[in-house]
Amino acid sequence: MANQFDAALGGSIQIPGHISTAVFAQARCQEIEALNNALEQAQKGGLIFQRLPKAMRRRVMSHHSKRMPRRLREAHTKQLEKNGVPPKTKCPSRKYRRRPQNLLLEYNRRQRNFIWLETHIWHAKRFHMTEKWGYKLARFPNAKTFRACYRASANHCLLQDISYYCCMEIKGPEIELIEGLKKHVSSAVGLTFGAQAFISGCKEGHTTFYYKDKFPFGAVGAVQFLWKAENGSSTEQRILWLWTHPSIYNEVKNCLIETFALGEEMLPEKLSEDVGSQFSMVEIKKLEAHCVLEAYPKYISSDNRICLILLKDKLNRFRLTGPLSHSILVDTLNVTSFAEKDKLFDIFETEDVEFLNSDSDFESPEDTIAQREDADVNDNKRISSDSEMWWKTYYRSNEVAQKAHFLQADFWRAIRGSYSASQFPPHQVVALTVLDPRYQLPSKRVKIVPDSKVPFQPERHTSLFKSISISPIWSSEVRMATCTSKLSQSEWEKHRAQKVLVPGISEGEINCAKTLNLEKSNGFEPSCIPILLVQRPGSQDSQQKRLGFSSGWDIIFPAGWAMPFWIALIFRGAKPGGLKEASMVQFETGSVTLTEPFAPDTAAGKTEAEANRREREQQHFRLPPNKRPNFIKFGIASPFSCCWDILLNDWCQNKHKDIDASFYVLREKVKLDALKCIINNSFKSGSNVNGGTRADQISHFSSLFSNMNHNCLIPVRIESVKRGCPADCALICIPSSDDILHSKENSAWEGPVEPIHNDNKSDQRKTLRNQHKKELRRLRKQRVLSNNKLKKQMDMLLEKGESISHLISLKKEKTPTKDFVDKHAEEMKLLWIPEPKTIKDSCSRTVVGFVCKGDFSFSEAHGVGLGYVPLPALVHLINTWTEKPLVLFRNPNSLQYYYAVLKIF
Amino acid sequence: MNGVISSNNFQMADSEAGGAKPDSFIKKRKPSSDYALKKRVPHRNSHRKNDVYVTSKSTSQSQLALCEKLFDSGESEIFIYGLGSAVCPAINIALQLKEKYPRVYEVSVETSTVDIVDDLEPLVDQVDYETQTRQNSAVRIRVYRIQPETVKS
Repeated sequence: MANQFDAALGGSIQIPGHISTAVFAQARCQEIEALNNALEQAQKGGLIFQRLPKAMRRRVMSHHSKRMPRRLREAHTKQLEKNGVPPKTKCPSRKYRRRPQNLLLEYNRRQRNFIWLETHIWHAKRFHMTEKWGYKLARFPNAKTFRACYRASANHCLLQDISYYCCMEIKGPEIELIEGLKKHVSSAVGLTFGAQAFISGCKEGHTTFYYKDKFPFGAVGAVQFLWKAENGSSTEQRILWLWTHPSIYNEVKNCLIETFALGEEMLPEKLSEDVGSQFSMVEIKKLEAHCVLEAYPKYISSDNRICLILLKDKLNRFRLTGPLSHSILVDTLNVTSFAEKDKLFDIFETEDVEFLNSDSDFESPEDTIAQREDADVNDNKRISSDSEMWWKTYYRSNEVAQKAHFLQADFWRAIRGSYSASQFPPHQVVALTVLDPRYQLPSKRVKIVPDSKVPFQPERHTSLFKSISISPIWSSEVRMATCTSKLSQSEWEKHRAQKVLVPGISEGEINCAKTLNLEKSNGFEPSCIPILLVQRPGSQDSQQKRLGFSSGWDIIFPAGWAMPFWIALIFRGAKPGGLKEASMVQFETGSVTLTEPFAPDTAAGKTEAEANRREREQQHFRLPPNKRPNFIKFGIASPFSCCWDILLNDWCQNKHKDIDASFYVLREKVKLDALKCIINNSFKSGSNVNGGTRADQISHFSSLFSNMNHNCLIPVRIESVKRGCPADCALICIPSSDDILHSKENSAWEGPVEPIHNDNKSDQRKTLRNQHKKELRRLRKQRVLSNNKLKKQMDMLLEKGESISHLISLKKEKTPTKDFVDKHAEEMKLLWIPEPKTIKDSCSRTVVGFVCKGDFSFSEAHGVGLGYVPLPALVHLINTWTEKPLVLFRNPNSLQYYYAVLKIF
Repeated sequence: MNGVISSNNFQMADSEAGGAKPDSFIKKRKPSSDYALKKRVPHRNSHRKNDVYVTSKSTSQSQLALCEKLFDSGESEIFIYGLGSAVCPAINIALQLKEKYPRVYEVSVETSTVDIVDDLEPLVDQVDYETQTRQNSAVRIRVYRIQPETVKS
């Protein structure tokens, strides 16, 4: 009340009775303008996004413009585009993407660089996938089942898809083939291609492949081979299958081409149209993706006698490891379809009498099928439906094969009572022709155990008949027919839904003849697949490993059938494993020869070692400096790789002045056995071992090794005595006399400790880092300038409508200081881990070797390492040992030495 | 032993599966530089839950614990198998069970001879694989729970 404004109300200000509109409006105008200005300027700063009150902002808005209020959306998108974020392209709907044809297109696009196995999609859902050797392979299961996989391989059944192993077929006169291949192998390493044991085709052979006449240098890697079993009559022309790891596939192929003087590759042709006509578009594309419909690439020698056919990806191979693998296979594979002689003829007589009469003079199964396919084109519909059933044609025309089949079927039924694959002859090949495994699928996943009711027939396991490995799988037409006659999964499901098939026939005695009739009445015929089973004996010496450990069967069957077999095996309790599990089984088996494809003297081994080194190094330098172990202080010269050349150089220096850079791994059996006798046996009490006293052994040993090139590595195995577990790249060292004394006196003594080395590079690193920082500060202006320039350039390009990806690549192009920074990083790396000059004397104990693969061994219950030691170092070790063959090992990230016993396998 | 066969390797191999054998038995095997001796797994007839296969490498303590566990889980009888040099440890385990729980368990023993197949793996190209069969002694011990009435009387 006291302070009024207007004088009329008692205030101090006189208000005029009228105003001039022009003056008033003018004044207001200015005010409004000022307000407007203020408002607009407030909005112009920052992003559109920032205009929203905080409570309305969402994180997704940064990459999903539809989450912005509609009025701001347009401006927001523009702003995002300006900043170089690519605008969202519209993704086709899921329904569209999942159409079989489109899905297949997408799958084929995705396997352009790395080939998928047939079981890829099954694996990709459950496994960590990796790109290796041109394939996309399963690495380890997502369900963390590493230990379970070990237990499966030891006590149950571990299943692996090793279809990435590559097969090559060599055709030609037997003598010429053996003569040619002899140049690539040595009889000192093991049995060769011409060995009596393998020539009949009943066993699969293993050997190491070398470059032509280079033995003992120039190893390519381990190969497996199998001769085609002949139908009784001995023919000059033979076929050999050579299985290699994909990492050495090209090398082996080139070696063979050179040795047999084979000509240019003949490009595969697409298969004739009529085969495809029975299938839908999608099905054909699927088959094409698996290269099934293509003829095989061929190389033929100039005199047309020898032919190399590449069967890469044309055959599938599964590996079953563990005692239950036999029971699972017995349950999965049904040979019954046409096993009864009478039944087979019944079918023929009712259906094919005319045909049988018209083409009575067949010469070979291959011709038969070719003729039949010609006949298809003509007219006869009945025959064309029959041509799907390749086995009818094949077995009717080929009596030897038919007899063999009956014997094989009989054999397969007789061995149902066996308990493990290792009860069979080692490396035995068993050929079977089995029914589509989808017929007898358990309704849910079960565990198959050996049936103790079936009597065990020991005589079936020792003397096997000759025709056991005669198989139609060797004929390419049969393989093709097998593949094309396969019912697709959807068709299969349709038939099953119509109850054409009775699930669960597997229980009790299977009468497949009945099944056949059942299907025939519905116009539906079963497929039969020729397969080969290859036995792997596993451990055959109870001194080394439990008898039969890691034994099992390999199944080889034509392409296109992987999924039915895979599911059938999985549903019977086989545990799937990936590459990690495969290497675990090899490691547990403990044999170094098995780790070959990657022996250090092969190109494949070097590539693999280099890849591992790079990965470990990158991992190391990704850590902040205070989290990295300082390997200089640890006295580890090469923490990420095994520098064999430097180690060999150190050990061979005194003896050979002119050192050859190349080295090789000792694989000669006689020499390894001599070494084994000296190391494994001689330190036992009452050393009257193998060929007399220790002196005799040593003289035998020295006579064997006197003329040898010393640039060689001996595969060894170390087993930790007390604690400790060797890691990859661990050092194998000679214990000093004090160490041995300590270990004897004090049973709790774990091992010596390496004194911390002096890090003389620390100052250099410090100065280098300071210099670098200073230099970077000096170059700051350059960077800023170039950044601005780039920004302008990009804006211009944007206006021109350049694609975003191009802009991004422009942005990634090097900044002016990139070279400088990279160079500094390299220098710094060298100051952290200097180039090793010597390995032997790099720490307080003399280094004799490296561990290539080290881990805790579940089967041995202590740490085990597989590695190599140069020959001179081993000789030195043998001379120092008095009791046990004791060595020390030290992991790269530790100062602690542990004791281990050295063995040779 | 993967090594070349000689008389001594045979002894080594035997020590795992049956101890010293008469000389005549050793002579039966092919002694040559052409073959290496490889072993196969002997057959197991029974794969039930209450079957315990003892090997010469298995530790007696853990095997004993396994037997006890089987009894605890409700089995009324278990079967302990031993072959060759594992006969001794098998008997040992059965007797230890009996001694540890007096008047609870009883044993009944069955002995037999088992055929074992060895493979002769060729070391040179000129020869083929061969097999030889030898015999080894085996034991099957049935350890079973005595009825409570019998214990009282």
